Amino acid sequence: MLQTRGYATKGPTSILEPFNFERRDPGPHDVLIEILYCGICHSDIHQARDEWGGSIFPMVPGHEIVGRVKRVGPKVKRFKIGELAGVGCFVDSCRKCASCKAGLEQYCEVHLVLTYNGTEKDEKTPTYGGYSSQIVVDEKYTLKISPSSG
Amino acid sequence: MAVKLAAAMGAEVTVFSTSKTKEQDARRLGAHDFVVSLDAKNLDALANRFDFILDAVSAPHDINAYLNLLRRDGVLTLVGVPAKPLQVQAFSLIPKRRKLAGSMIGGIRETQEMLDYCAKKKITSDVEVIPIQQIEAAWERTIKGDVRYRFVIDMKTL
Repeated sequence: MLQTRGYATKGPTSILEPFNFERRDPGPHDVLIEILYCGICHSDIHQARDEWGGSIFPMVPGHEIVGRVKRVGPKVKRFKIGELAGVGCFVDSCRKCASCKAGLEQYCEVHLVLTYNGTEKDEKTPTYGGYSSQIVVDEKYTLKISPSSG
Repeated sequence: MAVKLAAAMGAEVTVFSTSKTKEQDARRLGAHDFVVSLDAKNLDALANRFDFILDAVSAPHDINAYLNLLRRDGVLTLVGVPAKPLQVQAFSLIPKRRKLAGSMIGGIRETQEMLDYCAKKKITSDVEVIPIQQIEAAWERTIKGDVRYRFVIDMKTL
């Protein structure tokens, strides 16, 4: 497991504080991204304060992630170490339903794995977002960022 | 970003805002026209004019006033989330066969297409970069709408 630093909130009335946690070791299809920047979305605040209900704590918010690839699994084809990569609001989905097959994973009818305030496909392990030092994501759910975007 | 993208794609863009103070920004981002939406007369003058309206308002507002600005077969897509249900007059939709829709983020393919388009057209976000230690203050300002237009945390400050 990868020791990771971040900021988390412990509950709807808590403030964000430094928080250490573990991420999975990159699997064959995963990329490990060192996070350079993470945007703040108003939805981070809604969820951290449990204004939509069902929030999972502790919560590491952040789903506007850009960083640099630090490591790749042996089956990764689209990313090389040192390239820029992005991660948005979700990091996996069922990959089988009609929406996933149509490339509309955001409407996954089975289980959309949110970047934070969600659970992995095992439906138990909480996901932690981009207010953190690094993240591990399947390359299929990782975005290419052109070097000229900066 | 919606204004920048729509303008880059060749749309004639009008920004509606409750406040005149955003006009200069709207035009800098690429808007061709700017309308102060609090004055109903300003809206009436634009009836049946637009192909598409993106409604990002999360405060209470009269959706019918905007539906009436759509031409035949026009679409109003909601991306904001007002806390209370919106009241829709059936006659705001029926006579012009208008559509009221919703939409949520993009899929991976769509998001990649958007990023590639932005890189090609050199479209970037207007951001205010902060150290992570200022996160609570940045959240409070986000709630007040006091940011032009996005806070971004510099993660090397972690």
